[in-house]
Amino acid sequence: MKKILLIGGLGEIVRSLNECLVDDFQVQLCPAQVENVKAMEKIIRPSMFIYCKIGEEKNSAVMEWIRKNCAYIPVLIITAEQDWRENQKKYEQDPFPVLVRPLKKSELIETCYRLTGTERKPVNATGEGNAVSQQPKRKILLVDDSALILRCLKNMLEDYYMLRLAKSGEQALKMIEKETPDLILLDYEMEGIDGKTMFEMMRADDAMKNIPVVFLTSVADRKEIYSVLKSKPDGYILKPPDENRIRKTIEEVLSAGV
Amino acid sequence: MEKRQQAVISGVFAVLVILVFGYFIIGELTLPSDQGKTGGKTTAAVYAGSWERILPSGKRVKIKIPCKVSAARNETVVVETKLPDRIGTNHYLCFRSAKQDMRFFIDGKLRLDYSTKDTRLFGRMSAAAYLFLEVSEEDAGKVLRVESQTDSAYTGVCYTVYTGQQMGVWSYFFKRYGTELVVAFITFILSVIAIIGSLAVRFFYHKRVALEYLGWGILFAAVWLIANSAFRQLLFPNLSVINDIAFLMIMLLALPYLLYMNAIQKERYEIVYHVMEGLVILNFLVCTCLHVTRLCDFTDTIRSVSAFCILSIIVMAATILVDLIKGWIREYLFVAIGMFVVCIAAFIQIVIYFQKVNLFNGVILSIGLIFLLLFCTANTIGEIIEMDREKQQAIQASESKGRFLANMSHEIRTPIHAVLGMDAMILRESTEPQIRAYALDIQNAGQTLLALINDILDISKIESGKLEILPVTYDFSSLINDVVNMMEMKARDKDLEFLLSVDEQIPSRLFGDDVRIRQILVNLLSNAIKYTETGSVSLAVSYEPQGEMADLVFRVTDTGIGIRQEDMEKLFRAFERIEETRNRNIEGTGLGMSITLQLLQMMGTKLEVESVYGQGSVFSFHLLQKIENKEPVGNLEERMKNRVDAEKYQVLFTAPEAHILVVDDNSMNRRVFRNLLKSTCMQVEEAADGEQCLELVKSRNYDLIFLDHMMPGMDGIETLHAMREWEDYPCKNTPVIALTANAITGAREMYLKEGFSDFLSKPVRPEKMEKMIMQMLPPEKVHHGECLPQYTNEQQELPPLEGIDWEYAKLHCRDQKILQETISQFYEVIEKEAAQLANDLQAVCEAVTDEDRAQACRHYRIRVHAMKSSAAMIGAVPLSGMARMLEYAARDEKIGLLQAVTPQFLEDWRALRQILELVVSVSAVSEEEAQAFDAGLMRECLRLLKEAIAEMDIDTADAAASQLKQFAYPSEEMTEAVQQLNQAVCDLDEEQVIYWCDRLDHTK
Repeated sequence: MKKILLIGGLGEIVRSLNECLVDDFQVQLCPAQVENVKAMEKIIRPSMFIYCKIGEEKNSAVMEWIRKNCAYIPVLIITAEQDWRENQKKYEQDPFPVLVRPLKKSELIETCYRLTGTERKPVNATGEGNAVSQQPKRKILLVDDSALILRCLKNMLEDYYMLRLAKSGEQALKMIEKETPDLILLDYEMEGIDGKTMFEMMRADDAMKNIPVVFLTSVADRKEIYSVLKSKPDGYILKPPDENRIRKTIEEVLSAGV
Repeated sequence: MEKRQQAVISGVFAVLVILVFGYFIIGELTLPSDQGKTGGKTTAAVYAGSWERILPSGKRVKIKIPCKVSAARNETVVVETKLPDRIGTNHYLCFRSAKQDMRFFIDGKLRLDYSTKDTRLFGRMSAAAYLFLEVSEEDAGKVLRVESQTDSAYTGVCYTVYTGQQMGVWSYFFKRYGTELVVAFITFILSVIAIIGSLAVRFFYHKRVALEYLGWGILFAAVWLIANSAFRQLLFPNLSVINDIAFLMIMLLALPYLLYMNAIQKERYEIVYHVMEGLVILNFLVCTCLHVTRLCDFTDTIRSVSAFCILSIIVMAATILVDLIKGWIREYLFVAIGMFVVCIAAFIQIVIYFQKVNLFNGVILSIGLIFLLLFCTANTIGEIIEMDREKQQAIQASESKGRFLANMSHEIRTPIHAVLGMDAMILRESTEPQIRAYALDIQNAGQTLLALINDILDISKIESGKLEILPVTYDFSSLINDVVNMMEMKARDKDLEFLLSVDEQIPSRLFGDDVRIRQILVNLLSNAIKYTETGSVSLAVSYEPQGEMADLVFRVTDTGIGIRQEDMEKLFRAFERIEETRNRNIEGTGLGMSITLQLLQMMGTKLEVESVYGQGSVFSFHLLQKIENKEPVGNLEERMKNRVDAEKYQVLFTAPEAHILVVDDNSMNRRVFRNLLKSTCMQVEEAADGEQCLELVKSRNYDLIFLDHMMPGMDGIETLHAMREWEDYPCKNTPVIALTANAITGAREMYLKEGFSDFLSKPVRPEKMEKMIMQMLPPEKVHHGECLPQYTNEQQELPPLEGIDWEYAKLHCRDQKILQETISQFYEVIEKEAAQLANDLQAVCEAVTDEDRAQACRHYRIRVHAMKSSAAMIGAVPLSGMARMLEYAARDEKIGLLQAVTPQFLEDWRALRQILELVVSVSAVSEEEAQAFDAGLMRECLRLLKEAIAEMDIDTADAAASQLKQFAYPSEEMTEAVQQLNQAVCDLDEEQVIYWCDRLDHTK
């Protein structure tokens, strides 16, 4: 997935742009300040910029900086019709494409693909072929107190799912409140709120009780496995996780939920 | 069943015995006497006449008999009596001579003259005896004069005189002294039994039993009693001899008791006893000399003899008393009790003796002695039982040693198999010269080890008699070929010339145990090579036909160090090595020669050795072998030379369509197998046990099955039998090859008999296995030509690291890149995790209340649990296992174990950092690359990082962190903080990230 740095003030417009793009690109929002853009560029290393001009805002410093330092990165400028009319000439001097609001989602996405130099995945409006890619990615929350496992799982699964990570039960609960995941991969053994406690809390809460939970456990102790199974999770995986197995289990649980 | 019958019969026997003896005792005691009815009653009575002594002066003095009249030594004592008026026929007067010469006169006529003067060898006096003086009716009322004279203290002793018929007197004596005689005889017999028993024990157990001494002691006492009894004159012709014997016995009596006690008391008081024994012997010699030279008769020296006897008793009593105090008496409690009984008996006897001035009666003493003998026998039987138990234990220990050796060698062979197999894989797959050199070293060492274990197995088999010579028909040339192949290399390695000379007329096929002959030759030749520094080693075989048999002479000659004449004997002993100091650098157990000798012995021949010290040795042996094919073997030496070149060509083939099943419970073995077969491109399937194998053979056809013999549950033979019982299944005609680590002689025949097609001994030799596969596979599936082994590039990417099993890691992280990343992340947090675990451990140690401790243990457990998972993830299997152990220990709150093991665990854990350094691409930023510090940019990065970590957006967080790492910071403090921050990010520790971000933000 290509990364796009979306530069613009935080507002309704930027948010709607973000929503349009989020399924196809990795979008990072960035305030329209040179400082911010400079840092973001360094860190995110985006494949393209989208510069969103809103209203009367005329901060050319950002554009100047981009032109000067990132000439090799394509820029898409989005502007309002009024602005476009006023500065048309100026824009035409630039090599950057300009899109004028209000714009169509497909147009925006296509332009982005063109600029980032990637083939758009065959989007067949009526296509049955690639059902998975058409469906929005399922959201999975990974909860484990070991950063190593979290990272490993993330590396394994990020191409297939939208991942959220939590390093503790508390953090996980916060995240669930913010955004309900389609499935939780939950470590059984954790400090603080451990997997079992968290699982019980979730099952007791009306809002969360229907989220499927798959336990991750490395306890090779028969007793512990029984106690995991007794709490009736939707699945369980023994650590260290095996990539194929973990995906198979996730798919099974997810499809059972549907 | 038999035991029960035996018990019943024993019971019946006991009842019968009781009935018979009961009848005897009760009947004799209660029923009236029949003695009056038998007639011919012989009577005897004490002579009641009055006696007068006629003093030398002629004065007559009335005396009462028995008595001892006062008279000077050697004086002739004369007594007279008037015989009764009426005397019946066949009437006797019975006198007892107290070592006196006696003469009896009736009416002045000499009627009886008793003296042993002319029949004795030694001594100055006659032996004591009963004298019978016949008196008739004509003598009635006449005067009987008795003159007695002796050169001893017995002068003047007059014993009771009996009167009656001769038989009557004897039966009277018998009633009085018979018991004594019977008891003495019983004692005698018992002592003889004791002596014979002891000698038997000595013969069977090769151990001297102390009871033997006691037997002699009691025998002496018994003989003394018999020789001193009233009836001796009836039993023994020469009275002087038997009289002497009685004295000799009593003089020797103390000696065996002293010896016995010394042995029983385990020679604790050796010196005392030896002195005592010396004195007794001295006394014996002195007294005997005096007696023989007639200087002093036994009768006169009896006092010193008694003194020594009493002294001996005192010594024994004293030692027993000391033992009683020290508690050692428990060892021979029975003996002590017996001794005590004898002492009491002897005391009673002496009291009786002094109270009645009469004949000595030894009944009580005899009974005491019998008691002593019984007690001592009980003691000895106890000892013998103990000895027998020890013997059994020794035998058992030796047996279990043998079993242990046999089992051990099997157990050791299995891992060596794995080592050699893996090594063979390295040799096949690796192209690196260095690694190949190492692998070759491993192979050599492994082969040596294997040979050693085989030697040990052989010797234990020979010792337990399990090794057999199993003759088969064999090819003589291949025997020599094998031996030469093996030995020529070794000789060449030491720059020795290897010479071979084989009689061309030797028949090509012979009947014998070629495996053992090969072993013997290899042993002799490798010994020869071992002990030879320069020159040559040669093997020569000559031949002489003997009808149906071939008489072969094998001769191994070397120009080595030779053997000293005095060392020859050592050569033939197990574990012995000649000139240990000089040959210290030569390896070997010293078993080879011993095995060789025993094998030759089993083949009915023996080894001959000729040697000149410093010049060399010749080992040779004859061997008779049956001729199977007379065709001469031809010039082997030539053939061998050509063969060497041909051998180098290795048959290689591929069989991609062939399916093979390998059944072995050891996964390592299966892996070795699979890898050895890799180059043949065959399709190998595995089964871990018999049941699994049966499932598989039912499901599809295999072209070949390798079946391990030793497996838990169903073993190889059982599996094959189970398979063969089915009527129809896909693998009905598939050849099955047995795998065994127990390649004993005759294994091949055994496996063929069990239905296998052949067998392979583990460790598997690749060439042998390939040849076998080639033979067994259907020919259409075998393609000649090499199939290049495929090198996996992963192995080059991830170098083998100590303690890390990449295979295991890959099991979970299939993707190389992901694995690499995981390792990098693991690498970053090593130190942090270690520090935290150390803290947790401290908390556990410092916990005061149980609750605290439980809590601390929980923390520790969770931490170590996470570490376990992490370690497993990167394939650090041993470390993960250790962590698991710690996890369980923490669960069970085994604080001691935690304290003991955690430091080691942490050390190993931290050591991973160094180990992993090799695979982690550390992107250390060099000075030039570092970007100029930009406070604004940094702040922006920090903000972004904080945001990202709150959202757990790892990618952004990592990117921000790596950006931060690239700045050239103005202060050490900041560099340090960035490093900490980096670690925190790696660990996704929100709190720490925020803390360090703020720190960085506020440092100037």
